[in-house]
Parts: sequence; structure tokens; C-alpha cells
Amino acid sequence: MPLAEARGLAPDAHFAPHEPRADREALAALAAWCQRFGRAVALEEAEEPESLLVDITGCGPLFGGEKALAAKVVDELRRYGYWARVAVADTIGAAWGIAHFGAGPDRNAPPGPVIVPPGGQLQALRPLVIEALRLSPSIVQALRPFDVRRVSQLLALPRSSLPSRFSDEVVHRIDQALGHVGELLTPEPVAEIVEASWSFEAATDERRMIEAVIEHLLEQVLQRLRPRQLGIQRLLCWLQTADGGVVPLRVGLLQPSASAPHLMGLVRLYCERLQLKAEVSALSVQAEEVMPLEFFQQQLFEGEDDSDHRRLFGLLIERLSNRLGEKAVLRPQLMPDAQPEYACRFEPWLGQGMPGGSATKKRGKGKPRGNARPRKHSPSPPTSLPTGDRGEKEIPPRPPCLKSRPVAVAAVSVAPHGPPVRFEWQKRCHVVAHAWGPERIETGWWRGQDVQRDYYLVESTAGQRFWMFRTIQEEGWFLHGTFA
Amino acid sequence: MSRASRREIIHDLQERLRQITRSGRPVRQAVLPAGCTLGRFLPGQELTAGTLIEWLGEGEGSGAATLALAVAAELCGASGILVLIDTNREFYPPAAAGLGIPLDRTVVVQPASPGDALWALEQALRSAAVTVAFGWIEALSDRVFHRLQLAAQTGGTLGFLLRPAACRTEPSCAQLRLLVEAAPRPESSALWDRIPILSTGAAPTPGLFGGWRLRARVLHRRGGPAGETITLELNHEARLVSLAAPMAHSALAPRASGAS
Repeated sequence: MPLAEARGLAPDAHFAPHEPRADREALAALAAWCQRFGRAVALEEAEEPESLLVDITGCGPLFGGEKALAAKVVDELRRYGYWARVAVADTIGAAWGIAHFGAGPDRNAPPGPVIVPPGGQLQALRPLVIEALRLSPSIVQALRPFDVRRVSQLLALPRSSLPSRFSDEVVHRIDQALGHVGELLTPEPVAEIVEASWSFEAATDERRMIEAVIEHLLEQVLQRLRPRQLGIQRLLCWLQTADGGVVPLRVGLLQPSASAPHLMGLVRLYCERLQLKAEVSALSVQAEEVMPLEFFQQQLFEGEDDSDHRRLFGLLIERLSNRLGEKAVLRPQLMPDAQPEYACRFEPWLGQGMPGGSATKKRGKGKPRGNARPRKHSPSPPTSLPTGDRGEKEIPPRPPCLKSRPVAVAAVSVAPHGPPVRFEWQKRCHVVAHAWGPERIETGWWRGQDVQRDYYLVESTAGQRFWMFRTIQEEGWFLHGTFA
Repeated sequence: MSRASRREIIHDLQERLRQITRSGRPVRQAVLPAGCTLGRFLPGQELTAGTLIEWLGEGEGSGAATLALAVAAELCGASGILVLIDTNREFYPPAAAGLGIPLDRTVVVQPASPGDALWALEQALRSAAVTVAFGWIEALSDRVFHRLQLAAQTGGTLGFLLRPAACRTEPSCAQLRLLVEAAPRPESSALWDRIPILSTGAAPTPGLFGGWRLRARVLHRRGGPAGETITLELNHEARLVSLAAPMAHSALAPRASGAS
């Protein structure tokens, strides 16, 4: 149905644009997470996959039975905010059909997991609609005039006539669902977690020893990554303390690195602000995110080496982010918002990529491995001031220093809706020599607190410039920024 | 092959040898772009690699940060990187974009303490990838100042330190110390210009910056005289234009007409 109709039916619902690539990536991340439940996990073979196929042969007893396994999957997915329908059967076709179309008695609540007993797929599939057999829409359409809507009706038709009247696919899908024909599962690559751990004989809080052990474990991890030419993008160290607590140590990099001294330097920077409340009894080092390494040829003579420049920039960002925190090293991005406080947003540099290029990381032949979580994919906003929409007028200049909150000032204006003539700021009285304005900004009603302001750029008799506004309703004056 | 050209070739080869055998990274030579405003403050001198410049401003609204950002925009040009240490958390990027700063090559650091701010500034100065390192610094001891100077020399980075005007009496390790003030508009004889109520009525045009005059007085210049004052104006494209000093009164007697 069109979007307008949907909005009319469910005004409180959240609507977002359809992004199949992001959906697929999120599903792949879920598949990697599901590997703890079975021998192999695969995405269903479709243009836009929506289901995961998990081979749990022999895994039931490990979780206390197949029902318990299925219930655990549903519970854990619910914690991540996903509603899942789980069906367990002998064949892929049967499990898919029951999970998609095997509704429970209450149509509104997601049904609980359905376990089909071994050999019982025929009984389970009979009452379902024919779409449960994964038939293509054209075949379903072709069967409709014959009033064949249920699988039982389809199975009642003479089998030999099906290929000629409809397609070979019908027979193939029936055989796959019932288990007469095998079906291949293409498993997702196993998310191998590269980690190394160490337990101390006696718990210690001596920093040098802890750092020496981390270095040793890091070398082991790098040795396993080196043959595959992978570098670490995010390193995670777990410090287990004697009182049972766990202290995580996360080191992020702008570019993947396989250099132990560089990584240890960043670990030491992080450790400088780490407070250990108890002694450490064990620790483990894990390559949380790995990416293929980039190789550069070293130049013999000094020249305009762009790659060297990028490498040095990456090193600086890593040092700053790991010592001050990722949220302290930011990249400004302009937003198309009229309200000055929201016209700009800051994003951490780690995770942004190198300057001057695209905002997404280059993904060579690898995908991020390890415990990847589904990520949001948003387009990068423009980095130049918005123009054009307001006709010939461009956005007027803004002050380089903006107060986090506008400050109320005592100001006097002669004309009732005119600029200020005199105002007090920092215990000084400023007389206005020139003022430009008003620039009316009325926006933000969707945020709950709409603003209606008349902005003026004022220049005092001493030549100093300030950016002030008057609220239209309360007629109060505020100073928002200074041209420091 | 003439002797002069052979000498040149030998000199060139020796220079290259020195580059290869030099330990550590060769220091990047900072070269001023042609027509850069900073050149006005250093006549006859080259801006050497690793320089610190102090910009002192009296109170808010004085224009020191605006002028420093405009000069930084000129230096960064099309490919330079700017690292800005925003200690007060007041930096407003849309204004910087209007002055020509490339936001996709800007790193804004928001440190939690003044100590972190100085450390971050030192790291930025030390990195050869950074063109301009910009920071608001209040108190600066001699020791730390020397460290920043050394870091700037190592990385070949230009350091812009924004400081309160009260620091003018303190000793400086910078190559240049400038006191920036906003210049009031020249007195006009027209009666209506003296009345301080002026409203254009219409919404502000991009020419707002046009006509903002800033005076930069050289308080300290290493290897040169101090005391010079240069008046600059931000034109309608938010670009700096320096104004010539008013013509001095001619000391020569006017020529009598008809003199042979």
C-alpha cells in the first residue's frame, strides 16, 4: 500500500526508507551471532533474504532439547529487539513453510516455536497455504483459478501432470519440503574469534607485568592473523579481577594495523587513565574487529607522498582517541537545520575513514569478523553551507563562538521591534553602533519546543561584534554568540 | 659539461644523499601560499617549519579567533588538515565553514581538562600530517611553551595559540605575537551615521562581514622589530583584505608653479 495510506492507518508507527543492502548486512551479522546454536548458519536464497537457516543436527541435547533450544533463540533475539518465528523440522522447506505460514491460535501474538517431529513434515505442511512451499508468485497465480490454495489440495493433484501444466518447480519444491530430494545449505563463513588468554598464578596489580603479558598475548594474536594479511581494527582486552569483576579495555584504530609496537603504544595510552580497583587474576586479548591490511610502497626520496600523509594522520587520530576517548576527537558535520544549535553535529573520527574521500571504510575482500552487531547505514550530510534554496540570498555569516545556551542580557531598544541600542555584557555596557537584521528563525516545532527568534548582528562603538536575538513571544533579549 | 652545471649536479646529489641518510623523518618545510596574509607580518622572512603564532584578544567580540581562523583557512587551502583544540566547547563549525575552513579535514578535540588540552596540542604539533594546530590556551608555563615549540619544529606544523590579552606581559617562545582588536568604524560627517540606530530592515545579506575592520599589532616578532600595526578587513566573501596605511604627510615643499 502507498505510504500515505499506511500513515493514515497507523499514525504512531515509525516509517523508514527501505535499504536492502543494510538489511542484508544486518541479517549476516545475526547469522554470525546464531552460530552458537548450530553447526552451520545460512541466509535463505532469495533476492532480499529475511530468514536464517540453522542446521541443528545433534545440537538439541546440548541445550536440553530442541524445544529449549528454540525457546532460547527466541528469547535472546527478543533482547536485541527482534521478534523471531522459529520452526524446527527435518527439511529446510518444511521448516521455512511452518515458520512463515504456520500461525498459532492467536494471530496477533508471534507464535511460539514449532517443533515438527521427525518424519512429520507431511502432516505439518498439509493445512498450510501453497506459498509455504516457496513457490514463485507466477505459479501461485496460475494455480488460483483452479482453487488450489492449500498444500493438501496441491498434493491431491496427479503428480505426473504437474510439470507439464505448471512447471518443474512445483514438483521440485514439494520434494524438497518432504525430504525426497536433498537441498544444499551455503553456510556463512564462521566468525572465528582470534584471542589469547593468560592466568596469573598470583593476582597482581603491577602495571608493568600486566602490560608485558598483554604484549605477549598480542603477539600470539597477530601471529595468527599475519598469514591471512589481516590487521586489527579494534582490539579488546579483558582484565579479570580477583573480586570477580571484569574490566574491558577497548582500543580502536582508524586503519587496520599488524604492528605490535604501535598497538602496544595505544594500549599503554589507554592504560594511563585506567583505574584498577582490585588485582588482576587473568586476562585475555581478542581481535574484536579485523580488516585486510593496506600496503604502501615506501618512497626513497622525500616527495608529496599522499599515502604517508594518510598514515600519519591515522596515527594522530588513534593516539588522540585512545588517550582522550573516542567521543573527544570529533569531525564536524553540517546539518540542514535552521535552528543554530542544531545546524551542526559532531561525529567521532574513529569509524569515519580518511579525510577527503567517502565516509565509509574501504572493505577489501573481507567482512568484519567477530561479534559484529547490526549497524545503521546513514548517508553523509553535506560539508558545505547549504545555499540555493533561499533564492539569491545565502545564509548570513555566523559567529565562530556560540554559547551552548543563549544567555539572557539586559538590552534596550528604541523601536518596539527594532535592534538593541545598548546592552550589558560581562559587566560592561556596550553601545550599539551598527546592527544588521532582523533574521527571523522560526523552527523546531517538531522537537516540542519551537523557537521564534529575531537575530541581530550588532557592532559596538568599540568595533566588537556580537550575535543576539529577541524572542518574539516574551520580548526578552539573549546573546547567543560572539565574534571572538 | 660546464663546471657550474657539474657543481650543481654534485650539490643536488649530496642533498639527496643527506635526505636518505638523515635519521628520522625529514622535517617538512612550510611554505607560505602566495599572497597569504601572514606574509604581511613577516616581511622579508620565510615562515620556517614549526612556528608558533600567538593571537591575543581583549574580551569577547574582539575578532582574534575570527582573524586566526581566516588565516588558517588560507594556509590549509585545498588539502591541509586543521586540528582545533576546543577547550571551552564553544567552537561553531558553520562559522568556520563560512570563513573557508574545510570541515571534512578538520579535527575538533574536546579535552576534559587543560592538561589534556596541552597534551593534545603537543600531539597535533608533532604530527607531520597536520597543517595548522589551533587551540585556546590560557595559562602557559615556560617549560610547556618550549615543549610546544619543539613539537612544532619536529612536525613542521604551524601552531596558532589563542590567548587572553592579559598574557601580553609574559615571555613568549613564539615567532610572532599579535594583539588583535576590532577597529571602530571611522567617524562619518553625515548626521544620520552618528545616530546609533541603524536597521537595514531587510534580512542580512552576505555582505555582513564586509566592512569589519580588525587591527593586528605586532607585540613580539623574532628576528624583527615589533610595534607595527596592520589593519585588515574581512570582505564580503569573508576573505581577508589588508588595508594600506594612510598616506603620510609629504615632507617635500610643494613645487611652485612655473619653476624651471
